[in-house]
Amino acid sequence: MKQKKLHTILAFAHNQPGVLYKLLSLIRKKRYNVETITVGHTHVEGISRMTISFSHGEGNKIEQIVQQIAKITEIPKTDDVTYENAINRELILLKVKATPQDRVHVTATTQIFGGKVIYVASGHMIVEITGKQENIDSAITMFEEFGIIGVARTGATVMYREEEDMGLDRIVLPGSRVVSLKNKR
Amino acid sequence: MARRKKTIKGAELFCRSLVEEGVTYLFGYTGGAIMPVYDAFPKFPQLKHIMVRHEQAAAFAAQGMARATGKPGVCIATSGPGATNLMTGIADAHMDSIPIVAITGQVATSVIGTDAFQESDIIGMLVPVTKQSYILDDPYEIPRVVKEAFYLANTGRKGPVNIDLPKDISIAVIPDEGFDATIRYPVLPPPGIGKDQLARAEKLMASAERPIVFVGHGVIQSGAQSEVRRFLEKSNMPFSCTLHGISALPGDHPQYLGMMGMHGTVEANRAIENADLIIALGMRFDDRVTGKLDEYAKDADVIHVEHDPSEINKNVRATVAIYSDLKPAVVEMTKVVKPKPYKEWYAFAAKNRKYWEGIDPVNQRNGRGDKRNLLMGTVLKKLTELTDGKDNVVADVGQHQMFAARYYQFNRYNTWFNSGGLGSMGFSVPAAMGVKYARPKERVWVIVGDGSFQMNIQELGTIMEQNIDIKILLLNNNFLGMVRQWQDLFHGSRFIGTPVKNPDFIALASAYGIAGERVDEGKALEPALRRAMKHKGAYLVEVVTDMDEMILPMIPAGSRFSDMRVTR
Repeated sequence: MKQKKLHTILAFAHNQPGVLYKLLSLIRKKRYNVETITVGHTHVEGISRMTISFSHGEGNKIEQIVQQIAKITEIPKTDDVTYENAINRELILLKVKATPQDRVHVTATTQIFGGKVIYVASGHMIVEITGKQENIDSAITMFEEFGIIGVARTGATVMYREEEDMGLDRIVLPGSRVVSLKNKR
Repeated sequence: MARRKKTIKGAELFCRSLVEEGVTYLFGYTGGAIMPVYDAFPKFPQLKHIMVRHEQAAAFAAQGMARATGKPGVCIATSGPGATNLMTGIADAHMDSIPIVAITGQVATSVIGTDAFQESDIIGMLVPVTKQSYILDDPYEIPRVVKEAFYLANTGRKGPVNIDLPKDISIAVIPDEGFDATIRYPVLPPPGIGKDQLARAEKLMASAERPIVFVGHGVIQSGAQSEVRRFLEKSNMPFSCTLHGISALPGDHPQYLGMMGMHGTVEANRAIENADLIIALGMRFDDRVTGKLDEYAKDADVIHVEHDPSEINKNVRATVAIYSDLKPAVVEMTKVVKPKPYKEWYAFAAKNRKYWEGIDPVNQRNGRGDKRNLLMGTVLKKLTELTDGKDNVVADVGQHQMFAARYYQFNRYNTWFNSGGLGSMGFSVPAAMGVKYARPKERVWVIVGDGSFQMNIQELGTIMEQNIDIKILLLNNNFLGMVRQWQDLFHGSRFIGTPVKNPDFIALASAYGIAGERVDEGKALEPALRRAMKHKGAYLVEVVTDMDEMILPMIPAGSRFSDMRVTR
């Protein structure tokens, strides 16, 4: 399974209906294909973190797409993190064929990747691994020798190593939320 | 018993919020879902509703208002088909960065998503062509959303904003207090010109021998015309306008080379082809401006001043990218630029101008075509002469638009209105209504072709009803002229889908109580235009023009500037 070179964008968004639609509409308009997308709440109420990776285009266009995403009203901050030294992790659930004789080998392989076995049945096992996308890709290759019967990948989520600019100065959250934000800082 | 709290209806709260934003005119068409808002209008006499005959015209009229005043125009329609009919006008405003607020009715929140009668997912449809879209699902949000909608439409890069108002929200009755109208998405100003950028710009300007300044729509939108003029006059650099930059500066300015791009003047395009420095002010290097990108202005460094960072380096890579509002950047650049005579450079432009004047069809055969019909260029030149280039001109889309851009000399600021980015036929008549409401004491001309006129011709009804005094100059060649020109040049003269069998336009206008006359021969033109100018009220002048006429020069789409065609 050959992985395409992906471009990854990190965006912080006001958690409102339709924001994701706007973002994806823009990526669609530019005729890129979204490969993975993860969205979840952050520690600031009302602000979500979105990590989107899509198939690589020319550098110039990526710069432009980031600029256009930055114009979406509800997205106060966005960055191209493809070449950033940020932490990039993905979680995978792998359903692997495993005869009773194979179980020990599957378990050992899982441990190499720092993962764990979370389910065992008579003919297969489910293992959970997190890691960089490259590690996940090589894990898949390793497990192929047992026979893979199911893959569930979450797609990458990215976090900067140091303090992150979430663009909070560019957005006014309703009153009560601003107070709770101050308390957390 | 405690006194009852004062209450207000959602629709009234909505209207009150519009009044607070300074709204005067709304162009619209009523219907089931928006009726409660209309019902509230009489309580707010500041709001004057102009009923159009098709919602698309409402969006264009709102644009006319916005383009003429610089403040958001407002259009209003009901849900479903009313809302979808607005879409062309909204998309058009998005392409040309025109601030309008489009209000659409929506079915009640309880039935949204059930394919209710006249329901359409208008937010879903409008997302790609609006700056922001709101669905009001809480009446307490009305003041904030209305305030924010006008703020966003008119701040930063301007554009359309949609507010979708479900019927149950507009009929809801709520206590008239406790509204929080804080804007949630404040727009930060761009960083402005940096020291380093200014130093690099200064160096490029000092060494340039063949510079040209581009005046874009941004100059008008930011009101930076005086600053830009000072920069130009101090530096003595020649300048060219984009289609939307026209009328930012007087058309008779000695440094002006005319419009650039596909149908730009020979002198402007030859100058761009040979320039060593381009200073682009508030423009986005549209494909109609650049032609083939790889070959565009190959020897030129580019200083690009733009307040929308997504437009910098999009099509043309900037040597110095200045992400800034126009005024402060131009003021700084004026301080460091040194005047130069550019003698050879101006001589080159003069040579090209003379060359074109020698072959320009309007200068031959007394401005007539092969069949002795008037040429559009001749008509526009005559109009300039009679109006001193000082009237408002609203063009539609097609050959006549390009002729108006090229042959009407715009001597007064912000008097040129047309659909540039989207190129929507049917723009002119409704947009002119908006311009007339914005500038009631000024004369407003519509320049329109026989094709485009019929795309919003129903607005003659609005003009009749409201006594809107606009002068319609219909250039009728019984063809969709621009497409015909392309067929002539690139499709072996196969005229498919372009000949038009037209009605008797004068009789049609007359049915709407609009006076008019038909001009078949050249001599009749001037008296007809004079009668139109003298007449109190709307007037239609239909001029029969030469169907073989082409707007030249022309750089074919995607071609190099050196491929410019100057003759048929």
